[in-house]
Amino acid sequence: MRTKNLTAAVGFLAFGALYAYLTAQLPRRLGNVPGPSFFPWVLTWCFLGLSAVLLVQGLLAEPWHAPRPEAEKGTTRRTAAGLLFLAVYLALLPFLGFLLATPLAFAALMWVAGENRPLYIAGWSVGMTALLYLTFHYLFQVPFPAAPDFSA
Amino acid sequence: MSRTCRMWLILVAFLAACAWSAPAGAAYPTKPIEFIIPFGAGDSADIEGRLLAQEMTKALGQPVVPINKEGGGGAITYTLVKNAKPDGYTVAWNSTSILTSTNIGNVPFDHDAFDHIGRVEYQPMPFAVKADAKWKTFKDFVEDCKKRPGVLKIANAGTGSTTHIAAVAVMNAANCKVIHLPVGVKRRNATVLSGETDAMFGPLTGIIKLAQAKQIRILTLPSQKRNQLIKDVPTATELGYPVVIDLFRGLSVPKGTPAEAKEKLYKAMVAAANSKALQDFSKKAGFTIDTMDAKEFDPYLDKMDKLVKGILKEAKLYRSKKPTQ
Amino acid sequence: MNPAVLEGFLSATAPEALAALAAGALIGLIAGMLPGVTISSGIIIVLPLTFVMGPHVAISLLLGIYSGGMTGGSFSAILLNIPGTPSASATGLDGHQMARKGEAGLALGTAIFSSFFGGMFSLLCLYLIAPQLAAVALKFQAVDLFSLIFFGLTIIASFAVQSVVKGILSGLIGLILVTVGQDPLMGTARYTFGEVNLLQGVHFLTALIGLFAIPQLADGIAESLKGTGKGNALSRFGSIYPRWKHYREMIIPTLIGSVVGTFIGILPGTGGPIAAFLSYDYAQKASRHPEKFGTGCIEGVAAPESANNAVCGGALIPMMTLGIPGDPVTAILIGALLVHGLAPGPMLFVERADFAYTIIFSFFWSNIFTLAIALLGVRLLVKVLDAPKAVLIPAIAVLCAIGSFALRNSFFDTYVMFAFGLLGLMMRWLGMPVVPLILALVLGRPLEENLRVALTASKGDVSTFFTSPISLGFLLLSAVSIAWPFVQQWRRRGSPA
Repeated sequence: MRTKNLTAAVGFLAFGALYAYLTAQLPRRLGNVPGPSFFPWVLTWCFLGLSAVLLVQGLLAEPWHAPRPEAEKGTTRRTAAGLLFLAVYLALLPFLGFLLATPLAFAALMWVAGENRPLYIAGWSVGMTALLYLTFHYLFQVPFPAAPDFSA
Repeated sequence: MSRTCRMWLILVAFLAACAWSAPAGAAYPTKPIEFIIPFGAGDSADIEGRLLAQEMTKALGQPVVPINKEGGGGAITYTLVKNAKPDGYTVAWNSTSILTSTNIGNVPFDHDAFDHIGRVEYQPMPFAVKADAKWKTFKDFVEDCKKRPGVLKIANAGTGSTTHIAAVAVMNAANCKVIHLPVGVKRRNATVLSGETDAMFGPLTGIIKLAQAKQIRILTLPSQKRNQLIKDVPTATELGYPVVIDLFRGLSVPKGTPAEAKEKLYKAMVAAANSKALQDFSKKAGFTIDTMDAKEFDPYLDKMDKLVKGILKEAKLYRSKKPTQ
Repeated sequence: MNPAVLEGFLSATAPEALAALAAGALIGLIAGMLPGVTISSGIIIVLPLTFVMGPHVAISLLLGIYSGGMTGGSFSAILLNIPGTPSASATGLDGHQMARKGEAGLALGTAIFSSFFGGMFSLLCLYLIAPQLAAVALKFQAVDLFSLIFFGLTIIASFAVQSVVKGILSGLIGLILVTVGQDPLMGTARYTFGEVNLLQGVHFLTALIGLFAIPQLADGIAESLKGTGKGNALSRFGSIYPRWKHYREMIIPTLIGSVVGTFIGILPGTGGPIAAFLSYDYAQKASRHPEKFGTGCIEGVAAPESANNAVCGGALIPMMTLGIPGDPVTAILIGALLVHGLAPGPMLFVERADFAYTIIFSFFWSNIFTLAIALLGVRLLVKVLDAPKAVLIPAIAVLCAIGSFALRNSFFDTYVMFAFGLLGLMMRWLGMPVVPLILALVLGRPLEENLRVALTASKGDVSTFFTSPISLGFLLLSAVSIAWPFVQQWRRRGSPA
């Protein structure tokens, strides 16, 4: 925990400094009335102060190693793969359209979650895509790009 | 197994049909239009805007969906619409705030950053106090204010909103030092009723009900002439403070919106403005429906812009957008 | 008896009105359940229909959606840990833990029944003491609202017993993220880096979907590899109907939720999420075993669920007595009623008292219909949990994408959602609680707005927060709220185990 806290504290201090820098760029306006940068300054000082406290806490704490349950390598890798697939899905969605991107992402994530039967994967991916599309597009009029859009 | 297979087949067919049926090059409008209201729900801009959107829905055959994006005296909506895709599916329900919030410097652009569809209506922005307040006339208020400079508080719909500018203009003319409180339309009426603020400027539609219920008293209006609904309330000019600033409302779209869309929006706007629902409501609420097309509206905006600039310069609140290099 | 009351009751109970109510409650339940489709968007879809209906039918339909949506939001929060509506975000804290323990049915049942109670309680307030309540709410000035919201933020302390510093830092990160976008008073762009999509700031629900659902997704993948996917606790549903002992546990938190929800509902500019979190915290403090909160206890579901439905009735009070909407939905209601020439406001009870009572009785029926339809429909939801993990995980992922997109029809928001997901994972790794951040996201904007208005009014004098009695009261409560977890810790340590 100690290393984590120290890492976090240093990261937060850096973030706080960046925020302070950005806040200083904000326009000051209308004399003595609290302007757009007033609230951010309050936040900046609180944040920097507490990050410093976290840093001191981390430095003072005894180095302590919790018996960390060692996660299996495979699990971590699968989880990372799952998140990666989601990220790729989100990135491709605007270009491929909902009806093309979703079954692909669905199939990939089913595989990540341990499903291996191809027919099963294909069926669920297409079926769920259809169901979600029906519900959101027709019932609630969410304007997804349905198919690939090459015009833009 | 074969049953499941058949089910999937149907679904695949359905998906294909969905993809195929996506409208290709159909005439505008083919999908719902976002109608952005620059102020919070429940007040003048919102009430009139929703009614207009509803009538425009009938004229266009596609839902015109009102969305409130309040803040910055209208600045949030104008920034949003200015940056929206110019495809005719994002429309701003503008008001005089398109001149005031820009000239006070809330946003780095002017009203000419838009294409305008036209004006729908205009209305006065009366000055009102709580019904049991000690000020019976506007003169009482001014006298009290001169005795206690910098104490009385006037509520407005946000820094840079038209109500704010009207308050600044009238108070400057009366030589009154007050605190202008940007409480937003959601709380504007409430703050006067609770005594948190001493008075307010508000569009007639937004305050007429409270006046009729004898919860607030209207003392004056910075308008050219008296209003039908409140005939016994004198204009500011009659009282010796020659300030005339009315609130207009109309439609604006992002610059570069196709002419076809603008034309259809204008026609729908006029049809909606002349609908029975809006006409009836205008009589009850005290606003005047008087449509203008873009050809009339653009010079009108330029003229009003000069007026607003003048007021703000006098109050030393004017902020030029042109980068000072 | 006032003849207007009877007239109102009759028109609210007309068959066409009741049919509209049933349809509304169903639409509301579905809309509330689906992430990204909020109650407001459900209402907007049916709005054009209401123009051609009679006013009593229109109001029945809309109120049905309103209370149905408040209840439906809890379903996805409990089952998938994705709150369907912002108001349901506190429900997931314990509701989803219950579902993981195999008590999904009980969690849903608790949510449905406490929602019903909360709605009915606020109805009673609406019927009996609406004007008095509105008068109290009207006394709240910017200073008082600031202190109330600040008090809401001090709940952070309850969620940060492990490390106070980390808890507050989490809250501060939330407040900092809220400042991204145009500032609420002047519209000045802050921290947008010229990115147009950031001007509107981060949508609360977008952040929430990422923070809750992405870590959930990561867990799901890890778990699915251990088990075979089926036969886990999630697929055990249990009975929906709470037993007698459960009801006994529900009583106090439900009462707390109902009172808090009704009152918060009256205050303009607050709303469901604040009420839900506040009542969750109160219930925890009033509980005899506060340590069970967050591990899946009935009280943690009953309090926020009764609160968010009580908000409905509460928000109707200022709408009907003052014409001031308490939340976005009542604002839409005002618009819908105006179309029929009915202006909610101080004149409504004078000019059209019969219709005022129609609204009140429609709200009565909407609670009953929501209860009935939710109890019937919840059986179908069992199927969701029956789905194998390998299907549920991708479904959650796609729902995250749809939900974050649909809120503002923006692909940018889906990336924001994902970024918040990574933030959530990082915070978990650091041992930082996420709830303070969520709370700050809800409360940040009104906090800044009221702070600045209050300081403008006082010409920069900070003492204004201590001279107003209401404000002072809330600040004192805040102090108690911060100290409370420490006092309890100390008491537990002090008393012999």
